[in-house]
Amino acid sequence: MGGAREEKYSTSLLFKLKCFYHKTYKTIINKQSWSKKGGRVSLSKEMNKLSAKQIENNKLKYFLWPAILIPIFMGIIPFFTGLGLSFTSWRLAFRNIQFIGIQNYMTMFQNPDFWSAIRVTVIFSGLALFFEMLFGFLIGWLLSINLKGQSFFRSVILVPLMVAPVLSALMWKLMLPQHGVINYLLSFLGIEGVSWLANPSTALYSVVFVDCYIYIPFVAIIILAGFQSLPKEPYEAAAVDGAGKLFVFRRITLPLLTPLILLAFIFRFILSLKTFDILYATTGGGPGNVTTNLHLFAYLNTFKYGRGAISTSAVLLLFLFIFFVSKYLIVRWTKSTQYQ
Amino acid sequence: MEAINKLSIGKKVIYYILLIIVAVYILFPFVWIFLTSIKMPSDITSFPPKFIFNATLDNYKNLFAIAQTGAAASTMNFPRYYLNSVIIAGFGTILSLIIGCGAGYALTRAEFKNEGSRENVGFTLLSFWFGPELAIILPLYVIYNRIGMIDKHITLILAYQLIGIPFVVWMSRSFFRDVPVSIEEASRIDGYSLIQTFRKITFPLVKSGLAATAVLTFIFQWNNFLFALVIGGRNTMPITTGALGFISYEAVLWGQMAAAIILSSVPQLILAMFVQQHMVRGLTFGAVKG
Repeated sequence: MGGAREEKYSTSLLFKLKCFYHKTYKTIINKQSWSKKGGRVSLSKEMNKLSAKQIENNKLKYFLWPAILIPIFMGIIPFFTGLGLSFTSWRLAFRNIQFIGIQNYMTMFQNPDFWSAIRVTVIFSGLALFFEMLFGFLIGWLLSINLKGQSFFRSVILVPLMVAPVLSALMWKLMLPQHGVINYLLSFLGIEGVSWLANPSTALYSVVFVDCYIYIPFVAIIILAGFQSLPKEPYEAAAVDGAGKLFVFRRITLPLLTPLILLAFIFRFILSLKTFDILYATTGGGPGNVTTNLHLFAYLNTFKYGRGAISTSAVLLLFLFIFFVSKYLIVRWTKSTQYQ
Repeated sequence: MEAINKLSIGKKVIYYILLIIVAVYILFPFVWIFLTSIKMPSDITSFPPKFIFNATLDNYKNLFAIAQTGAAASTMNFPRYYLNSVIIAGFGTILSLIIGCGAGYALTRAEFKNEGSRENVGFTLLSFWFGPELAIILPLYVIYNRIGMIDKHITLILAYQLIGIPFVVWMSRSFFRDVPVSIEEASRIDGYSLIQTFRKITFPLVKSGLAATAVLTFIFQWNNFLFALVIGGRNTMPITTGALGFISYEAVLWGQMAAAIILSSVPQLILAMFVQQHMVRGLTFGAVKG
């Protein structure tokens, strides 16, 4: 009896001790701001130990430095170098670089190829975004239905996301020529195929199609995750109230999915504006410049025509546009998740 | 939902048909490329395309044979590209993980004077992923050209950190956030040091998540194209830019290209199978916990 009681006493003592430790620990956290102002908190030995631990926690910040330094050297310094270069006469072949002010930007705005590249960027991204969101939503919904063997289909959908986009693009390049397998299959449907990627009137739509192939699954699995995380209660309540299917979809499902739809939209919107590898691998921007978007325009300008400075101007404009739009969209997204 | 019992047979059939159409649409290119990779050159270009043919492994053999003979006619060196990809993405992933996990942990747990700086660091890192790469890679090319760092593995590995670090920081941060602070505090109070706490308490809890992060980082770096295209060269060319070499002015080596595509995408698909449950989270930078 006595032993058990002692044990009880000792555990409670241990408990109290722990509480004491915890309290001092918390007070140190609270007082830290005060002590920084110059005052000195009188600390017992245990407290000293704990404050040492607290300091160690601040040491964590040192772990941030490599993750800041490498991007500074590899990203931020080059970015501002690029900004500087865009005001110079830099060309790939020449070594001497002169400051010429905003002349590059003026030349660029007068260049019809630049406007064509902007047009292509807008059309490409707009079409790709529309079809990816539409079919991505439908496929995501289809995958969320409770059926046997669904896990197989859910794995299959991930395949295009894991293969390098440039390799997927090459696959389609292999299948889309005049005498390719796609035209052969289309002939069964009575459609006379053309050389999809080489024909100026179809090239842009073909690359949109290839882009859709790769990124519809991306939208689909985000939407799928959304469907899987839907709570049951609102649906039960709606069923009790005898709400119609359309009503349930519009008033319950859609609002609950909004944050995820927005998220997929943000990702695809931003990433489709800077599409490069798909266009480069399939058409190389051609025929002519019908599939040259802004990003590809900058690349070709530098390495094909040697006009480096103009490319940096073009790509900086794209960067600024993406930066501000994405900032706005991300703020919207954070708001939409807060309302949930 | 409970709809499973309510689905009529007719609806089920429709759903299955739709799902199968989707699956065929996704898998057909891979099947076709695989078939192309085991065809003779004459069968590849024949029209109508052949679904039945004499299979051959010549394309795969040629991929490796060129490197051995060092044929002057062909500049393709597939094994070299493959090795480059493994080196660059492999070391790149290790570096990203070491640096990114520490930073991710610090961003979650360290106390900042100004709470905003936590998000600022995060978003600045993220903008490297979202911004057009050429804005960075073109000047980087100029700088590195001046100091003679073009076409070196270390250059590419460092440049690939712009893909790796932001991703690892955001992913590991989302996993560390799931670990309750109180557990760590309790272990600190019981006498574990910061490192011990991390090793014995936090790390086991986030282990599988970090493994998935590692795999996805590897895949993303392996898949990268533009960095390698601009600051890579003959010695460092990875498979993504190397595969384009099969298309030249003289001829298009469709068969070998197909074989190369198959060989370079299969490892990723196998790796991806292991991290399937973290995929949604990975693709959205930890924003969605799929």
